[in-house]
Amino acid sequence: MSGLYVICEARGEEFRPATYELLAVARAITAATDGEVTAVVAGPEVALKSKLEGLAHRVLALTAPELTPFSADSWVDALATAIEAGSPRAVLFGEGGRTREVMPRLAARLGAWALSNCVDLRVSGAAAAGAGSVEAGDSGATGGAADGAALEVSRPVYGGKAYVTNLVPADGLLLAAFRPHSFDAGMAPAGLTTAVEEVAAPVAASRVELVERREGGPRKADLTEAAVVVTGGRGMKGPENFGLLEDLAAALEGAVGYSRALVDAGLAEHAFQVGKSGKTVSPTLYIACGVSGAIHHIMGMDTAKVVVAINIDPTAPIFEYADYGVVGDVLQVLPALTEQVRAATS
Amino acid sequence: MRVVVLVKEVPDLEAAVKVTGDGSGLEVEKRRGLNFFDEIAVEAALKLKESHGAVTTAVGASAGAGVEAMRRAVAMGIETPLLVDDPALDGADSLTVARALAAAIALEPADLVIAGKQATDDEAGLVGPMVAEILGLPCATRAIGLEVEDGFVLVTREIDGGEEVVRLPLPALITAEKGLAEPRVPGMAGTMKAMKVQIERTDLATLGVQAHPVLPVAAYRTVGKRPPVKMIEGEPADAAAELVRLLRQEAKVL
Amino acid sequence: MDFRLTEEQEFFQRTVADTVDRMIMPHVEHIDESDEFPMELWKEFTSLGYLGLRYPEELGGMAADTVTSMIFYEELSRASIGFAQSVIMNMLMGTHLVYRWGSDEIKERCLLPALRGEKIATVCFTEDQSGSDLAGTRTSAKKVDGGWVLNGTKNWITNGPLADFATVLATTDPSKGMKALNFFLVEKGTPGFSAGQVLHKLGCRGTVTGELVFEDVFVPDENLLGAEEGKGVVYLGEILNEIRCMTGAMGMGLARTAFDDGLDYARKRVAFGKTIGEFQLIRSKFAEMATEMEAARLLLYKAAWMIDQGEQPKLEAAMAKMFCVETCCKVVDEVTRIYGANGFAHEYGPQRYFRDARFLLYGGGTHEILKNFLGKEILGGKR
Repeated sequence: MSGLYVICEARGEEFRPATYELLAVARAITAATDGEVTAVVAGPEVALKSKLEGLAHRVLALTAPELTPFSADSWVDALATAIEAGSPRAVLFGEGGRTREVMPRLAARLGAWALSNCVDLRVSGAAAAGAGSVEAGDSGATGGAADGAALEVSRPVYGGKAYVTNLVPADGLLLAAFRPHSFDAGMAPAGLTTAVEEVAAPVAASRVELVERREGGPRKADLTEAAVVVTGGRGMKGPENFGLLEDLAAALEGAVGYSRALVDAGLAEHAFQVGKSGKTVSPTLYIACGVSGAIHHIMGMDTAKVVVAINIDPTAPIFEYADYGVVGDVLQVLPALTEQVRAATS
Repeated sequence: MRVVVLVKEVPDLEAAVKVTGDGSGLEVEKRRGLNFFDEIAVEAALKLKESHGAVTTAVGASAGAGVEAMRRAVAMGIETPLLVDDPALDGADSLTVARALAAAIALEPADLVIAGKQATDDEAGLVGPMVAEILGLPCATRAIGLEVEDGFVLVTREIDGGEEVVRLPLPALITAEKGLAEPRVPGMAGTMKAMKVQIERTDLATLGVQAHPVLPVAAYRTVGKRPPVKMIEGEPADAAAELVRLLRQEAKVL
Repeated sequence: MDFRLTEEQEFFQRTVADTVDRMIMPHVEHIDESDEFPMELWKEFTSLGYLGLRYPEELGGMAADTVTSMIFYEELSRASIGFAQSVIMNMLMGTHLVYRWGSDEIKERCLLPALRGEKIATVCFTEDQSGSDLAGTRTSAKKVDGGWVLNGTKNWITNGPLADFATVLATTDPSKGMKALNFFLVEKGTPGFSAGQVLHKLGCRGTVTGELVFEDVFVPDENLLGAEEGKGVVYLGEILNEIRCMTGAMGMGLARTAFDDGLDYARKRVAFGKTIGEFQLIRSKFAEMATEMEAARLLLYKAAWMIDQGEQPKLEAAMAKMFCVETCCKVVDEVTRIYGANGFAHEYGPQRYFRDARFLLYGGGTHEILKNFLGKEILGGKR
């Protein structure tokens, strides 16, 4: 077993940022241990394969017609065959809904280990590579171990109250899903010579019939993916003020989330809820606006790199989980902040 | 119609979690209950019991625990609790848990299996779809709507960036997202039943389940707590200006 | 000797706690501020069936033992003491004598709907001139053909103005004191039976407390609750220990809420660069509160356990009531201090706990009366 597979997932006409991050960490690891990076594209993503030029040693394009549009049954079948054929030591996925349909089933079919929510991957003995790791350190320092060394993969458990690092033996197959922004897409040099291999072998048809698909606007797609998330809580009072969140998010090219209090009160949609019963986000910058910081909420954002909290109550728990705090009425602070951000970034 | 709900007992969100001195283990306070998303799954099953006369079973897999979650499911209205209780399930790999649950379900095949989207302890969301794969069932994750048709289920589910409606032939497995059903609060009669219920138990050997090896743990560590929060004083405009300066120059995220 | 709850009781405790947290906790501030009986919450909560907790299964109950009942009262009282009072009135004092002595028709008409929450029950002891001193009861019952005619005014009646039926203590002969006291069932709509003034209380807000007025109220013979005339006090005595324990359990529930809030605050509130929980004098408060709560709980559950063993723990129940409530008053006081000035602010919980705790001093026997009783029993060597 050698080499790493990266499952390259796109949103629309562009790969998810996680795809580039995972390809980078895979290059860093294979540079240190030998083996190749294989970028796997399937179905609708095959058309985007030229964007992967130089980022992997090989692009494996799965072209069977059953793979378009995405269906878990067909993807599991196609990926299982590809993974068995290539025998990589690890397959890296970006965390997300599609990964959560495919990865566990692949693990069951292949008898592999599967881990969700990962934030760091490195060669055993090497320094932390993950930008989102709690030991967030010198990106790009992965390396220094011999081929065949174990991989170490880290993830939060118990809502981020602890982190566990697992050791993946060199002869085992690991399937791992990484939260967005876990790695720096520039952590390892690109410029590889990329071979492209197309596989058209037939795959199982989907047993699940798609009746209707309703895709939201861009804002909807962005929450778990966005590098900046602006979340509103009870302090926002009501929907009449949500424009303030959207303005700041727009200025930062980020997405808007809502706390459970607002969702439960019927003021915001569950699809935008950040927290235990909603979405887990892991952005570079997280701005909590009038969010008290109940543990349910913290579980959904604690792996954010930089956290800003704005709350009128100086004893609000959210400040314990923040890097920067502003005590004040969020309805007054937000417009001022948006103005400053616009001035600073224009 | 037979509906099986997969239930997991998890520590309370508020439970204290401590890493033991040398980082070799975790101590988790023993305040446990039924997983948040499994409660929704239980409620969805109970709705089918009411609308379609479904017979409901809750299946769990655990090492020396799980009774609390089973009782909760019974208090809500599940008829039969079945617990795979085996020391080998302590810290077991997800695949072992999925194999145990699948084998338990196979004892009396179900028309529909409902699992929670994920458990609140590891938030991994692995076991449900694994069980579907092992049993060869079609699977739809993150269901927010469910209708039973003749031989099919029509599932509305959240996907990244939207929702979709899919039709699955029965038997099938779905995982419950928040919104699928609003879990009921058990009443006294259900609670009383749950206090007295005999929970049927089985183990891996009886089920003929082969454990998947456990992935070795290199270390546990507590969250490297963020440095103390830097509070920014002043009127909104001044505080906002200072915050932007810090985000640019110190945190370097703008 | 085993001080632990059974696994089943622990499950019951967690289930009730969870129910209270989900269903009642979100409303506690509104109940206090509005001082209105939360009818919607009442319907939702009572539909769960807990009002029948201590009654037999054939009445829709759970035939719970006293320890299990105390667990319920304690968990319920973590939320709103006012709401808990209303609920417990239907579970215990307001329905017990109807259950014990009511005819089948009376049970069908009053008890069963009360246990489903469809009727609100109350019991009437207190009058303007008598509370602890039952022998001073002036409300009178005069024998007439086929029944009794009641006259008088009761005050401080929990649920009173809302009650669909009341169990009313009245004397059939004021010269005979305790030996002439009887309980009569009076239903809403009976001519001459009306609600008077509603009291405005310092705490326990949201439960409606006030006067009930009886002007030539005729009730038939079967409404005298009891096998024998003149035994009202004896029948009350059958549940007096349970009532005292229950009041103690309410104190324990309230003390726990206050304690938990205090703990949370002490861990978070920062002064002089550290959390206030790191200061010795604050730690000392927690050490004392925790110790006394532990002692109070042991007294309470021991007395309840004795009732379940068929004993009559008159002393232990009185001690438990008194000690649990005194501990509660101390804990809420200390927690307001831990909160500093915030303990005085309506935006925080402690001021409400502080107000609510005071009521428990009087319900179930004032501590002056209880001490007098205990001292007399102990010195008199009557045991």
